[in-house]
Amino acid sequence: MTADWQQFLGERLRCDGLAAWAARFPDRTVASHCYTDWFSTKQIERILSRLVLAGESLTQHGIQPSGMSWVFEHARVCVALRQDGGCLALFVENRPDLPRPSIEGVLEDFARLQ
Amino acid sequence: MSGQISKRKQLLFVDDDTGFLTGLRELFTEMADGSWDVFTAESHAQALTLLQQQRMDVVVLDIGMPVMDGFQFLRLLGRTNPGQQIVMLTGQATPESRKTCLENGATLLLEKPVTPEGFRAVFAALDALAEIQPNTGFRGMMRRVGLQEVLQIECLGRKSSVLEISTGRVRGRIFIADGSIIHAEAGAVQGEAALYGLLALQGGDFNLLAFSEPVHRTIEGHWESLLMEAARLSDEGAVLLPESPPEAEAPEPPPSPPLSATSALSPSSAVGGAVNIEETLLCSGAGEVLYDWQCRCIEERKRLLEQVEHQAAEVSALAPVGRFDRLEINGSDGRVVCQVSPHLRLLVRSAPAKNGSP
Repeated sequence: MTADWQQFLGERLRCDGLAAWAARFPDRTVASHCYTDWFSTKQIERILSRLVLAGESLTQHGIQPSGMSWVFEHARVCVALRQDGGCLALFVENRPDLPRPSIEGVLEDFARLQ
Repeated sequence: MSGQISKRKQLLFVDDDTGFLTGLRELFTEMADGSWDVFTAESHAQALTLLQQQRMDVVVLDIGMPVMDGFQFLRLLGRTNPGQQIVMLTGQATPESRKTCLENGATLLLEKPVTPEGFRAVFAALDALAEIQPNTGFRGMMRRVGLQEVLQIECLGRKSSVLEISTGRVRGRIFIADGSIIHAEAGAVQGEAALYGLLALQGGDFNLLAFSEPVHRTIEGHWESLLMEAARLSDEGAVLLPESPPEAEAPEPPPSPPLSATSALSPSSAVGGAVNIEETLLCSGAGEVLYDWQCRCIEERKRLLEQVEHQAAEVSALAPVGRFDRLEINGSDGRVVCQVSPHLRLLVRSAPAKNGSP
């Protein structure tokens, strides 16, 4: 993991409503963090792995995803997929009373990260 | 002269026996003497297509059909065409089949006629039934998805109606004409802002009423785009309606031009025409196609929806995220939304508006 990646993870991944995040880097190393006890790091890393596969399987259907948002009753999982294999999954609480976290901005910055 | 029939009755007969259907059509058309329009379908898929295109006064179903029997199709119609009057036909009615039919929403169970007297009796029963206007109002608990499904059903059926919504603090109405959402109002808020605000409500009552023309038509655009945008804004918490005044003090809608969507929402939310819907597929929970529009390959898209449902179930099993609602996929060439519920599966593919598009 480069210094830029570390800086990004340290600075950008603190948004209101963000319950947890998990990232896979181009070198296939994985990092994750939970801000609540709602999830465990083991759970979110497993989910990240499943969602990466889900993103890859979309190509069979002629879809080249750069991002996915899996919307569930209590949470949405927003995923940015990079061409180099890197990906970031943000686990966001699905509460309408929460101010909208700048999730898209974080994901876009992740996609552009060198 | 009183008693003249001013409107032709619309009847749909669904039976896999082509000979029976042909005979029935000829006989009933003659007996009706111009007062019936008789439609026939040899399969459930044909019947669903006709029901999307045409409102029927009565649908007559044969119980013994291949692939999906009449009972299953009856239950499906109960979800896709609520309020539809349905008569079941069977070669031999038993107390069990009668009970099953009536419990699943059929109005009548009739034995297939074989004699001239039998045909006359069935004709008389259907003619009388087609006169009856079904009860078009209902009450129920409302959830966001439930309300969207009501709108989907109305729009897919190309119906005209007014969906009246009320909670403890907000009241509003959504007007649907020929399957298009044309107007919404919630207190002083009108147009797309009102539509998105009403669809973001978390609970309340709704009534489906007969259509009446609104004072203004404030909404344009495809209903699927509107519902997609409503879901997106609701998730972002970007819409909030002001409280309506108490019932007795409720003012008439203001005569001034209605508020536009963009006046109450963020600039990025103004999507009237900003998205081009390129493909739509709606299936029942059992996978039967209820509606498709420009679908590239239906079987492949059905497999995609199944795959998404399976993958979402895996995630739900791993963490307490709750019931799955939908997957939104963004790519350089557009967006795909896959919505999966136990009863319906919906896929909508859209592309960004080209430069110069409205």
